[in-house]
Amino acid sequence: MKTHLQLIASRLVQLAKLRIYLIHSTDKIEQCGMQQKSPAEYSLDDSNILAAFRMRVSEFQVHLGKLLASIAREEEIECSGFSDVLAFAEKAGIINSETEWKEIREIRNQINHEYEDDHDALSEIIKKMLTCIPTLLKWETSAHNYCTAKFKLDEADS
Amino acid sequence: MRITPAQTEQAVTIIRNSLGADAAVWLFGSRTDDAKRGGDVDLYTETHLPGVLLDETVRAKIALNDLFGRSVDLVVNNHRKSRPIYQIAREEGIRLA
Repeated sequence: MKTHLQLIASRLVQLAKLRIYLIHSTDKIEQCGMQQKSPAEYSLDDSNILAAFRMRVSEFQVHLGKLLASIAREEEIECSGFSDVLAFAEKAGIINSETEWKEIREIRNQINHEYEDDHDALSEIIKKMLTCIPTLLKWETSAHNYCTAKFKLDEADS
Repeated sequence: MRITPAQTEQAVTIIRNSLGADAAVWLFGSRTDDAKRGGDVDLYTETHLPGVLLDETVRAKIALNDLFGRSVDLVVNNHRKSRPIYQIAREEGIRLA
């Protein structure tokens, strides 16, 4: 197998793991009712659950972005920046839209600017982030299916 | 100040389109210093629009990132909270609009 295809295969394996972590963190947030809690009431466990969720959302989107860049490279798409990668992924039907990708990235960035003293903002961002999870998971599935169909790749290949 | 007049005009338009037609805008941080090079673009805005303004801020951030071709830090003050960064941006920043 070509080295670059091996890289794509290894990214698929990594994303499959990150998917499990993201689903687990999302379940934890929902079980705790974090989006309804005031930050003033957070226990140490609550804060840890929120920190893990933030990290899992970030790492999942970052790694998915790396996979998309690798796919674009394998497809010999000329990319001068990440916007070109997103445009390719949109055209290939892997993601819904470049704009939606950027929105999710900005929503997760917004949480880094909020402090635990702003209950309203934190709650709204957590709720919004939760609505993004099905989309991120769907895009990962689409990317996986694309690689399987186009490159005859599967996680078992890595 | 190290952003161009065209960037200034477009940045103000973007912010006012998302965060209110009467939003005031400042540039602060390293881009106010002509002696420096590169660095982040830090913008501060004050608006009277109520609420958390998450969707509005996200929309403006995406357009500003596209305008400057890099990640822009946009601090939004709609007077729900008081934070030291608001005062620093006002005192040390350059008012754009």
